[in-house]
Amino acid sequence: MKNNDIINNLMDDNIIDDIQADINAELEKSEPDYDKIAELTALITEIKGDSLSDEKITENISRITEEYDSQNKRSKIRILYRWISALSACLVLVLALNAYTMVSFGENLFRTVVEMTQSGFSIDFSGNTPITTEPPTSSVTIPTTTFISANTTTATSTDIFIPPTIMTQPATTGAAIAITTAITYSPSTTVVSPLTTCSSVATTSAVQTTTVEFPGGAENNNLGNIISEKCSEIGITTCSIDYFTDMEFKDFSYEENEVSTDCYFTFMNNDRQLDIIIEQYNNAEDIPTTLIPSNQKNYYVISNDTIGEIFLFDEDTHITAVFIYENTIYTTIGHNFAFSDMEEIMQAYYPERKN
Amino acid sequence: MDRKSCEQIMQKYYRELYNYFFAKLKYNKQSAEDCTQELFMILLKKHENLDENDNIRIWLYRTADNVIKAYRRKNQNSDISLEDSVEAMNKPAPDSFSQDETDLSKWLTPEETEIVRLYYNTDYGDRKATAKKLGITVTALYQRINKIKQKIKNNRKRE
Repeated sequence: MKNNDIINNLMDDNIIDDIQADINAELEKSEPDYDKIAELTALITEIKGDSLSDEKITENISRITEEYDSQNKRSKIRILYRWISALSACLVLVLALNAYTMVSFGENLFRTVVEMTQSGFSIDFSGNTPITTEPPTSSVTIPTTTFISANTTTATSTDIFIPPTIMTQPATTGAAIAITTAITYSPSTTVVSPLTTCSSVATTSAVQTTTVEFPGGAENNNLGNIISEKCSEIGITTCSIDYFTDMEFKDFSYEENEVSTDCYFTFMNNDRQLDIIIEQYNNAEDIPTTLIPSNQKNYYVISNDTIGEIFLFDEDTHITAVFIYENTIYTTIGHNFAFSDMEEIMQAYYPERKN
Repeated sequence: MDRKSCEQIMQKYYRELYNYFFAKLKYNKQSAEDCTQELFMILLKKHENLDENDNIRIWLYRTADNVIKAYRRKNQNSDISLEDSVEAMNKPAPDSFSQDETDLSKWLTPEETEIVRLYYNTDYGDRKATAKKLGITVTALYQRINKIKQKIKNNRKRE
């Protein structure tokens, strides 16, 4: 070969093609010799004059790690966004479900959840669901023995229990929002001296208190007539009760507060006493969540066809029954009453027709 | 495999894999750097799934091949044209010698001249035999040729 030919060969990059051929041949092997490949590729880079300096390599590695860390951070943020999106979707779903249940059943999903954190018996009337929150170690027993069917008006004992969340009748069309009413009872007094220890809005400021005592001894008094009459006198319309009793009407008083008008009725016969408390709120928003102090772990739910669900709390000395209708809370406390009698009384409530 | 091991691997293999990409991607420095970065990003992303005992070098080369395929797919339209490739068109490199250079002996030793002659008098398939004849590996042969080329280039510059 002449020098000219050699020079011509050296002028082009045929050597690189040769090296490439060797690299490819090595790569085609089942077990390539990566040492050889590394040598050959390094040679190509050297021939081409594009070798990297150590500083450049260090710089590039730093850039890679920084880029990775940056991407990783963005990825975590994206995951967070996905969670937020998922939670938002769940929230929207719950809101929609709540709206549906409110429209369809008068049940409010949210209140049930909120009231779970409170101690004692708590009745959230917006969800119409009583919840007892005993310490976690203490099991909450659900009554399974007493339930009055929504289709009957007499007290019966069956083995059916309807969980509070599966009520078919809406208790109210007015949703209650968290204010607390603690119902207390003093058995030694003839006049029920409760009641409204509302936490914020409904601070009691009696504008007018009237006590009227009727002569006793009347037979077969209709509780409803007396209640309707007295409520009518003070200008409020409430549910009434179609219940005849041999109990005497002993006392009535009422209070007009900032947010509600509260009426107290007392009926007595010997050792039996029936106190009826009616709290009519001016606005549905002011209706509090009701707390009922109790030593018991059980509560009972009955369903009144026209009123909805009614909650009964059977204590040693008395039975407390509570329900809400529209923007009024009705509390009935019976002393020395059989549970079945209380059920019967509560089933006798009905909405007063408004004129 | 922990993050620290990953960074050690990057330090150890960055140059080797860059060279590999450079050789496979038409000697484009930027493409080689981009792909090397991509390869080690994959390593960082997958390092928790990799075992210290794995042959990480094989993993890197196999992953590098995938990166190259992906890179080529992505840059199908913007890839280096054949006209721009010195090797593809078998054109003289920009810093190559002019064709009127004729006298090798004034720049090379007799041994170097012989190596060049042997190298260019044999076809590609016979390079092994040539290397064997010279008592060196094929890679060493290439290296010798490259050095000779550099020598000629430097002498030419001095003149």
